[in-house]
Amino acid sequence: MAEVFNWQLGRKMLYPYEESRPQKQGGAVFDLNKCIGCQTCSLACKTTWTSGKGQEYEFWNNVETKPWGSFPEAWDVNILDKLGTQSWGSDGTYTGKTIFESAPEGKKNLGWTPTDMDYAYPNRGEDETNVSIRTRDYKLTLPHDMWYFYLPRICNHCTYPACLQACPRTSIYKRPEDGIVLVDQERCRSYRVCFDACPYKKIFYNHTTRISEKCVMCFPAVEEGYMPRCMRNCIGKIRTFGFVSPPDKMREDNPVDFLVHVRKVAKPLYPQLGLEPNIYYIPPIHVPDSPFLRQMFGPTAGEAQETYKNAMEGNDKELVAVLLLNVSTDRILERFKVEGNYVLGWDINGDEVVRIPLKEPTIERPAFDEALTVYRYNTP
Amino acid sequence: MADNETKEGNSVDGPEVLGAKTSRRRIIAGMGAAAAGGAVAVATLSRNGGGEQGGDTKVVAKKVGQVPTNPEDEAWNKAPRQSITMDSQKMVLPYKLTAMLKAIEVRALHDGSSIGFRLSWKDTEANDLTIAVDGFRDACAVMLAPAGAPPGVRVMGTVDQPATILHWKADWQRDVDQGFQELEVEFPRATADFHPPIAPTPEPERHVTVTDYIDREVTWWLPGIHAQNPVSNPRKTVPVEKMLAKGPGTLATTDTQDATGKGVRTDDGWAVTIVKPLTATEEGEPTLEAGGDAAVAVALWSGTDNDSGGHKTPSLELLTLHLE
Repeated sequence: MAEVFNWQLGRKMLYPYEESRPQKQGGAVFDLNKCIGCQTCSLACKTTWTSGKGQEYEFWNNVETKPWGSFPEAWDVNILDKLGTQSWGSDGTYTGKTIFESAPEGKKNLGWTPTDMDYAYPNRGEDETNVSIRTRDYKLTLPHDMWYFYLPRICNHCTYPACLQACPRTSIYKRPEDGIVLVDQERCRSYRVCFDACPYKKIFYNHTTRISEKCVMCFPAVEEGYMPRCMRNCIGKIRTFGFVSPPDKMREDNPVDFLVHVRKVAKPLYPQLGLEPNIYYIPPIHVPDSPFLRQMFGPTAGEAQETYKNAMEGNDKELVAVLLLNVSTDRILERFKVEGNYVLGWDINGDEVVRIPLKEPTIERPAFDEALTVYRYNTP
Repeated sequence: MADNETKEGNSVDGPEVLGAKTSRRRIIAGMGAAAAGGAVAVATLSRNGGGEQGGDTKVVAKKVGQVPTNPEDEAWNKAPRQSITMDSQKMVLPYKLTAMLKAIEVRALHDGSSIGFRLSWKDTEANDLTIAVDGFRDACAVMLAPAGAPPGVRVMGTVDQPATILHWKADWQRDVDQGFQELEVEFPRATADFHPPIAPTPEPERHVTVTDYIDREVTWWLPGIHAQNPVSNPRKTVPVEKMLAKGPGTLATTDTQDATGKGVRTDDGWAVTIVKPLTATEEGEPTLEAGGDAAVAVALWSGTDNDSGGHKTPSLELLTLHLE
């Protein structure tokens, strides 16, 4: 076992491989204040990658409804339950154990193996709770904070993947050029130790090919400087895709680094598991800063909410600017700049590809169009 | 012994059925063999030195006219019954903390050009489908290395001395016997609107099959098949895979696939033959010859216990294989 530094935990931790960060790390920030649960991302991915026979249940991208739902069933509750109560120190360092440090006898990490039934209800917690609370017993009492939010998830292409270290024959690898984690389709022999190991349950087993597969972060597109399908098709424009740096190498003018390291408004998902996931989330501001939220996004979730609220109240032009860049182009943005009332974005080739006004211009048109001699109608 | 006669003794796990399914004999091992009367001659052959916990340390392959692939062939009665002591696996994570059984029966025959092994063991729940996400298979394997290979070779060979592994899989057997098992075998009510680019068909009972993808040359929708991963192969012809390993985690399918075999269910377990030519075709694979020796080990997997890879029950020792 080696000692590696996990910056999300603020400490070193045990991992079977030496620390070896990629040249660039593909990552993203999802603004949970804007996700409408339309599932366009899920289907964008599915039509691209998982429409083969045997992949029907696979949602490399899924959107679940918190707090009720999860896909596969209880994926987070199960691993948190196994991990047991853990703590963060007052200085922000994780003082508990990771899944690697909690490995039971004979295993490399804490984990569990799902069954097919665990995938049978991908959208559980979304529709069946929409009945009057008088007709079903939801154990709700007044006063109760009525809230929910959508949690879109893909493989986190973790810095310390549980899947990669679990495979006894190194069939899973992390690309040095962009940090994308892949299952070698020629080498996998479906031992499925990875399937047991991934706490986020983003490794899937193909019923037809009988080997494991997972989100590929649309690497053919990323190699050409284009965003993955789930990112570029996002209707709500919640996703900021880019290359996230570790804190000591971050660039302030990199949109993802700005959200994660400068404003610190973007938080990792269940960082206590110890994998240093590279998909970050802006916590929803309408959910109370509660143990639930802090368990999910770490002890500073509430601070992220305050930062976001502050920006929405008009006090943080730069944060609003970066969020406006979301899905404004299909090119991966590596650099941004606010110039006057515009935000500009440059792609991986250094080309300016987008220039967005910070405030959408308002244009007044008279009711009667003189040139065409017709009345204009407001079409809803 | 009469076909329906049974003998109590220091038995290994479970009875075993040899030949016609109506015959039944108990395996006799250890000191109980001496009390078997007519079975003494066979028992003597199998008592070669006596390894740890009473198991055999030598597997003798008797010479016959032709090695039978069918485990139910009467010719297997000619082969001496060897009892191989099995072990847990605590060398490579994830461990199998408890062996699935204490010993299995192994018989070996050769005919001057091929060698065959017959393994039989108790496993009351047959696992011959790997379609479900937690569908793990029953399997067994014979490992071969040149005579005199150091004990470390038992753990998947070494860089200096590779191990040749002949691996029978229950789900491959089912694919061979019944044709490729599509996912409807596990999920009979599965439907999908559309599996691009195969046009949806109007007949309600028609399911898209792997053949549709192959015929239309669009197997990239089935990545493992497109990558020609042998585990994904939908056109298997034999249930045994030949592989080479140079240490844990290095297992690789060999270019030549000249092993074959057959596994059948017994009343409470499996009887499996693994057959291959004596002559080696791969670098590192031992060539066997009449009168010669080699090193041999075996291993078992139980799908019921989610066995796969190193999560298996291997033989305790690397044994000597002697060809008559």
